[in-house]
Amino acid sequence: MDVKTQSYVTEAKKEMASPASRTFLDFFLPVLSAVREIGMTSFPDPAAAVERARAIRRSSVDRLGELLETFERNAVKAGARVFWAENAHEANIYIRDLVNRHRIPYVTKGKSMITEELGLNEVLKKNQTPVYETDLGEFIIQLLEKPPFHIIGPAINIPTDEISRVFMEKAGMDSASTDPVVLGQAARNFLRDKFRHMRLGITGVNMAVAETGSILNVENEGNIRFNKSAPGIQVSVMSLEKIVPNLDDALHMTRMLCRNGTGQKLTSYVTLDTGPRKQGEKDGPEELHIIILDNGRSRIYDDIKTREVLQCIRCGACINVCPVFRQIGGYPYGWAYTGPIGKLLNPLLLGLDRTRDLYGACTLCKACKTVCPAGIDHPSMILYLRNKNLAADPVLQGEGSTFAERLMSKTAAFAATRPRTWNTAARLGSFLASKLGPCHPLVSAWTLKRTFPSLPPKTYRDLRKHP
Amino acid sequence: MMNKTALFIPCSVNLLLPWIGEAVDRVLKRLDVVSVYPDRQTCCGQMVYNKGFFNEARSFATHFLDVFESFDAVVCPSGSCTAMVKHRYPSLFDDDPKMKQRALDMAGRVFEFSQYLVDVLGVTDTGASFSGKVAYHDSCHLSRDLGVSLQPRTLIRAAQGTELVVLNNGDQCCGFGGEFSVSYPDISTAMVSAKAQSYLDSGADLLVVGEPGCLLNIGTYLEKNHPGKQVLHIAEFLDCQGGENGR
Amino acid sequence: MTVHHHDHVEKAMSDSRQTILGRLKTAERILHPDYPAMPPSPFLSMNHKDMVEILVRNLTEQGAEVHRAEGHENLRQTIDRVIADQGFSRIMVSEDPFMENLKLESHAENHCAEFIKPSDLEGNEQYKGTVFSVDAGLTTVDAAVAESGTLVIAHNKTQSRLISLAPLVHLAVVRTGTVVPVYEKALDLVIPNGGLPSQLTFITGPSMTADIMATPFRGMHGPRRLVVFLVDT
Repeated sequence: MDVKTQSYVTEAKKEMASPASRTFLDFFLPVLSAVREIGMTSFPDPAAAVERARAIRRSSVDRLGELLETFERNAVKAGARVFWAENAHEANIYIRDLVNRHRIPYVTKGKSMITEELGLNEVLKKNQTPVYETDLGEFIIQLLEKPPFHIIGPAINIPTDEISRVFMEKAGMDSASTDPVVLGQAARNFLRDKFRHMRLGITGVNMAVAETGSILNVENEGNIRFNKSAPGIQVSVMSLEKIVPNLDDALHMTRMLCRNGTGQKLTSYVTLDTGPRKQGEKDGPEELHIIILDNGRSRIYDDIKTREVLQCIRCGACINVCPVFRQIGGYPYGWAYTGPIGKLLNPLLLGLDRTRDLYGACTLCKACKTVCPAGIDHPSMILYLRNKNLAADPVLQGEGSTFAERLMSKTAAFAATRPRTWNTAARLGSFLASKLGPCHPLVSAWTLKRTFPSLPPKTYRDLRKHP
Repeated sequence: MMNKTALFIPCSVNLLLPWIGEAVDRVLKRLDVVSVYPDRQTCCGQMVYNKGFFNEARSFATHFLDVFESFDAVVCPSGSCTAMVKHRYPSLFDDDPKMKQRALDMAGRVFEFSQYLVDVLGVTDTGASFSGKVAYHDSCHLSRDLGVSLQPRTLIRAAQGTELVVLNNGDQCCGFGGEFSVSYPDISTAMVSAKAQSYLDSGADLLVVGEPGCLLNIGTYLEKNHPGKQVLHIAEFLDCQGGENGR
Repeated sequence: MTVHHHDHVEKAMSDSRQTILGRLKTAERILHPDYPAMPPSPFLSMNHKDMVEILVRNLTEQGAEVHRAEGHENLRQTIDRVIADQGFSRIMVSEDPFMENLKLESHAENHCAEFIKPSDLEGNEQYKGTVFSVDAGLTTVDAAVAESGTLVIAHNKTQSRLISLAPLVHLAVVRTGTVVPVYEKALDLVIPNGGLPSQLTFITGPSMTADIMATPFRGMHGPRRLVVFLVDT
């Protein structure tokens, strides 16, 4: 997947001016947040349920290495093949070789963020292997060659006439329609034939259960079930943090994931796979390949301050409440993950130097942290990333600070412990600021839609001392 | 009743909005609270901390503790400065147990203004009066960082002649975020315009906030785009007595 | 793809395994306390009759149709009636003991529907061709969970996966004796010895999506209709 994180500001501007995106952002995100809140009330004690979920994720991440080994052992015992990929290239090559070895004519995919991260579609395209996304939203954006707009609804912002046009051009739809149901029907008919004849299906993994070697997926459409039921070969790609210790934990986290994602108690389908089909079974894959993907995560794990990000279960709750996302939507994040979690994961996986606006453009409002069922403190980690960037951290590829930034912060810290200096400098600073012309970038940024505050004749301090 | 209460006045109030500090003084005086203004105070260091300069922020924290730790209570008319002291300071000293302890001791004694009135003094009715409808904006650091959301509403409701009305998406960020407002002006102003719209839609005569940053942001936006629509700090509001304009 | 290249990948993989696990296991550990306690689910203390009512309510709210029946004979009649009303002519059925016992095909005097079992079909192609083209799929359900109105099917030789997925209509038989309060109890019932089936499916309402303009509709890829026969046995 192309990395476009550096065009954050221009993309954001474009999105804020787009009526289609605006409609979705203004209307749908608050609705999603509201249904989430309603969904959570179906827990007998919502707060206790959240605390438990957070504890499960903390403990799972804490025991990551051990749990992955247990998972591998049990998955292999059940007949699955487990492949460890250190990076996207290894995972992609493994899948490509599998496709070639078995002369697979085309592959189908269930919705998965992880294969977006891998850039798998591009690799298979180069291999001349057609790939069909089968989640309705993913299918639409694949045809339109657009990135996902939102983790739950990748194409939720696309106007129906645009979908109609591309379906007629590329998905065999006969006549134009702007009815979502008719459009969905057309996609169903087109993809049904692919399911019918598919030989290799690719899915992500929502949870991997160490104790049983099982993988779990949640969905509403049924496309993931097809990808896990119809083909001869199933490839399921999991980022290594998807692990939970046992089935009880998996069930609790599934309850949490569904309520936080869509407000449902449970999505239409939840499937738990333990090994490939057994002898005598009519369907299900003959081969089940599970790819455990690192792609930078073990390095994130190494630092206990960034490790917490691996607790994420990709429910999307943080995205829906983020006031910045509510203005700009998903495109500006420029890579696989959007919203507050994208502000953390994209920089940690891609490097701080080319993702500055992701951890920069945040007001630290804590809406994300408040709703997170996995216990991630996004704002604290954003601050940590800012700190690492200024410190030119070699592991996270920080850029370092500018001379002006260093001068400002050192001067401020010097004056902070010297009240007389501080007061003189602050007074002088604000006086100078008040004299800055409207052409100064700081002033013009502020006065874009605001007035410039005038400087009162006396500070509070002066007034207090000489009332 | 605590016997030594200190005022911590944020830079924004000291330099740009001194009347908020004066309103705090008057309200406290009305409630017979004797407060002192420690002359050596400077700044909580939030600006450098939020930029990512943690080392520099430690100088601010150390100085703050030196100045304020002898007091029984520290009161501050800003949620974010209070949260900085209460929640960020201890985490700044993870590698220095002695300083961390000092920071933790301080954390229990620093209060945002409305929190101090309601939770510490047990006051609900401050004797304020304002005739009209009032909407309250939940500033991020007050509501989510400090858990202060009911206290200001309690105080507003108790004001004579005041009807508290609902502000849609009232706890959504107004888009200030310190440096954010000038680093990402397009996003920031889109956010503040959404907040202003909620205020207009609420039918309120006045918007009250507990955070000087939000006040500056929303206030200057309203001044330019909806002149006449007023926003006040909670201290200014509680300072209102009999009029519709407390300033 | 050449064998040589394949070997290369296998080798890289074992290196990667070492590298990844090495990093994870040498990293600093933060040990967290035990999970906080949760109050027990109120569903656990509910009597069976109430539990069944909640199941029905949840099923209905999610858009399933529920028909109730008493005993085998009445169940057969109820199924027959629905099939006749809908005009279904070809139905694929699961081959689990309960369904086998029901002997639908031999009792189908009043309708002309054809009941097809996967084992009647030779080879994968014929099976798939049929399951993708029948009017409905009829399966027994191994457990039904009250907390969310969820039907649990453990897939095996006699419970093929596609029957409840590929046809436009899923007819599901729920025995009241298999109604449980929560998912955990469903696992106890379905896998008493802990031996998991190759696939365990939790079905909660029909297939749906809201991916286009947030407009919800049913039957995206899976069944548009979920018809539940709740039978007291």
